[in-house]
Amino acid sequence: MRIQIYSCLTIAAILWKYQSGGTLNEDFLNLIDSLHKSVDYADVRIVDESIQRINVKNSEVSLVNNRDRGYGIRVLHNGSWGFASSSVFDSQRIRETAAEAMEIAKASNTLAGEKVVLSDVEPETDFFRTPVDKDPFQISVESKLALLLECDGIMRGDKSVRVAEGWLEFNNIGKTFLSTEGASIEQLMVMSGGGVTCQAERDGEIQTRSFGDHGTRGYEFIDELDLRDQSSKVREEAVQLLSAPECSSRATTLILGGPQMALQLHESCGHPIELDRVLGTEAGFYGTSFLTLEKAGKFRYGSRHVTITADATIPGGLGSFGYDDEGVKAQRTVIVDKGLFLAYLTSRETTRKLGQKSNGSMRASSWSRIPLIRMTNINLEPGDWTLEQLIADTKEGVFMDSTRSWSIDDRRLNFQFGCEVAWEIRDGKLVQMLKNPVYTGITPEFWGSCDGICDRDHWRVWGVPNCGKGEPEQSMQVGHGVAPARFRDVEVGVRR
Amino acid sequence: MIGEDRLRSAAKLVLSSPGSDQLEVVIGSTKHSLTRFANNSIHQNVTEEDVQVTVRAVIKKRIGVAKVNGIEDERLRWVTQSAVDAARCAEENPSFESLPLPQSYARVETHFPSAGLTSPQSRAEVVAKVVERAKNQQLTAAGALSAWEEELGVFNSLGVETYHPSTWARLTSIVSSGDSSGYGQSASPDFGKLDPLRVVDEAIEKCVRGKHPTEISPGRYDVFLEEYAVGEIFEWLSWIGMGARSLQEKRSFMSDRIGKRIMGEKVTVWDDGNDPETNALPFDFEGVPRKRVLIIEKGVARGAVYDTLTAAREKRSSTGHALPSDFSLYGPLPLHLHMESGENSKSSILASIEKGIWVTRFHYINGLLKPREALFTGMTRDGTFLIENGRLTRPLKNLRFTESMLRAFSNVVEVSRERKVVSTEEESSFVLPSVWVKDFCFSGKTEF
Repeated sequence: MRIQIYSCLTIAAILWKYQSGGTLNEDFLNLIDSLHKSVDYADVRIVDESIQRINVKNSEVSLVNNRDRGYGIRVLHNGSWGFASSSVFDSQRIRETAAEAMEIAKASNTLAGEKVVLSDVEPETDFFRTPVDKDPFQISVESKLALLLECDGIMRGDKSVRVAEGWLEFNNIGKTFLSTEGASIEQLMVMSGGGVTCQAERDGEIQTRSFGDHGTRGYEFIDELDLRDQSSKVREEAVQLLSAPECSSRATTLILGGPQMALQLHESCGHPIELDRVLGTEAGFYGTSFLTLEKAGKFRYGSRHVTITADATIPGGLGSFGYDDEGVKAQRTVIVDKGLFLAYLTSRETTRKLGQKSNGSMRASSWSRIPLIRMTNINLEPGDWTLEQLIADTKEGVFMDSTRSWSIDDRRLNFQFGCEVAWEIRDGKLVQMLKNPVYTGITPEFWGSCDGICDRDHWRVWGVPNCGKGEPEQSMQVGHGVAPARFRDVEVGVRR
Repeated sequence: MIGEDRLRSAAKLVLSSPGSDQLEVVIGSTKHSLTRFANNSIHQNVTEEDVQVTVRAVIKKRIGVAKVNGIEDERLRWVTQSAVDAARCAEENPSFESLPLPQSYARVETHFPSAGLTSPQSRAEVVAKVVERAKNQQLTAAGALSAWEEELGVFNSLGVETYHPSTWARLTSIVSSGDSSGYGQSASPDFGKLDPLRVVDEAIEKCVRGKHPTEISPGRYDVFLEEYAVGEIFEWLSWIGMGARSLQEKRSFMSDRIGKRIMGEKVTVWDDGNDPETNALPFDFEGVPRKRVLIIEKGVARGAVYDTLTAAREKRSSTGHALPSDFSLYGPLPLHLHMESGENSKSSILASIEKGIWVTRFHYINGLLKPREALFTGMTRDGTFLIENGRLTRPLKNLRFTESMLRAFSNVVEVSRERKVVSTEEESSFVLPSVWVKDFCFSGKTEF
């Protein structure tokens, strides 16, 4: 066993050390070897992350470089979990951290529920790397700053604009996963993101328009965002909104643009399909789920137009990776098929209870956090409309886009989402811009009212870099492949 | 904990580095352990130790920031050089005048080492008390027991040197039946002062009372907001409008309203980072002493909290509310809000309400609908009840509210005599009473 681990690790370690100054060393190999004899299961994750964040707000610059590294040791002993983590890499501290994880597992066992048993997974030895055309850490800070300052100037080209902010963020994550089952996986992941926000004000009223996105790609992703053009667009729309009429309250037809569809999918599908929520293990904090176990394979989640997948293999998606943090290979799972709810996001522990195998959704936001069931890329599969056709086919309604506020109950049923901008639809045309649009609904009713989704040409994977879950809280990068879609008889506005 | 001596020597190495006009280093070391439980058993049980070093380098008015987790010499040299390199690339910040000069600080004792911080067995024993009590009632307990031991030092090249060790502990529990739930919380710098039985009894009482909830039509009702609900509202109010930057950017509900009435006469709110009942810290992340800042006085907006950058714009002094320098564009925030108590007890206030809704806490509040109006939405959670003739008469299914908090807190009828330390999700801690608010808008409902 140990020889096998060594041979593949050596190759991966050399690659990683060459690429990013990795920290893999003999201590962790010895540790895994020793834990193999004394626990049900154990894994070690060693993470070394570089982060660069540049913000320009009204020409004020914030430029932060961050280097964060450490390791987490997860131990399953007598059917109970313990986890300890540290950023101190000396041999003694690594051994002490492992001992601490073991002590914690023993304490967990004093108030244990059903013994934890993991579903099977083939231990992999592999090396995964995000395909990147332009390494964002090789692009000069000066040129990144020049882009943001140019955007800042564009956005502040109207006297109503009070706040203009542009940002770029890059992550380079080196991750090693070792398990007592023999897995040894190296991953090098690159994430890039950028965006602009423009806030206009007149007579005490403020209106905001924004644009931004993240992906597991290199600096070419930033080039494609075309932030200069987006700066002009958000400035113009933020200023226009100051003169726009209020979006009135009524039940009507609603078309959502891509960014808002991403949020809709995230909150009302992505979270309720997390099997740990369903099983109650998030009940103490973020809540549970209305998609209880008996609903799998039987419950009508949406209309026949609604097919939803979880897919961690999409190139460039922010929720894409090679392996999850239990060493399960990235995969695609059909969650909802033509409206019928089929499957959850799962882990090795939770799927054992269903007699299934994990679909690879366990992810940790840091070396210091345990993996939890997290969204990967949760996608609404495209339909066959163009956006022009969808609007032309709508006699009366509202087109809304870009998230402004978001709130949903702790079982993920009643939601209220506010958007930055809307347009009134009358007789198949967008006739005027509307401000302060809000819509509300009950999740399965809302998805049941979906009668049209735009086609593959309108489909894009939007990155959400800050999905919160767990205690201690973990902020995770996830993605949502969506196209604009239409929903009938939706409550728009707020009854007050 | 790396200890004051090692922390100071690491700071010394950073501050002796060349290449900048001024340097600041903030070093924080943390040991955080958390025992999480659900379905009446421990299911997640973790600990972490880390040291974060944040360096701010200043060249003329150019500022660069870098962070690293570790105090090895090599990493300290990297983080310092990286901050200097970033400063060289940055544009000048006209608001910047200088890093702070040395000042004196209040002494606040919030460091209480105990076995609960270091021993998973001790934490498991506390959790077991909660779970046993819930199981005895055929109920299901979930929640988390957290314990932090931290030390923070702020040092700069102008002579600021300050250090504060602290501990903080928090126990939360949600107890559930098939169709109801209740919540309890206890938080203190002293792990030994956590009261697990009070927490679980509070949650059980709400859960049992909440069984078989019934629907009520959305609409306007009087509400009794318990301390947790008030805490969730004030956490959002602090984010969107109590820091100077939000006022300067005209997005605060207090923008252009300083000196004017924005809430009712019974509402007085201040920030005090030196209250030893909270997770106090006598200085901010620039090393400026925390001042007590009056924010709302008898309903009148009095002012915001400042860091050095926002203070310089208005040619005034920082109030000691800076966030870590990598968050400087967010501006300063109050992290220790207090609201003045009233004269009457919670029970006597309840007895005065003819018809209304009791709200234990909220879920997923969002305050970005219209920040200038403080228009919020959110759901009730873990104990919502109908009040009739001064009594809780029946449990209610959860409701969505959509309401301006300026309007709501202008309609405060009574503020409770009792106040509670409320530890929020973001590890702020507030000291707050319950409030009776008239005519509060519930805009929707859910199925449970």
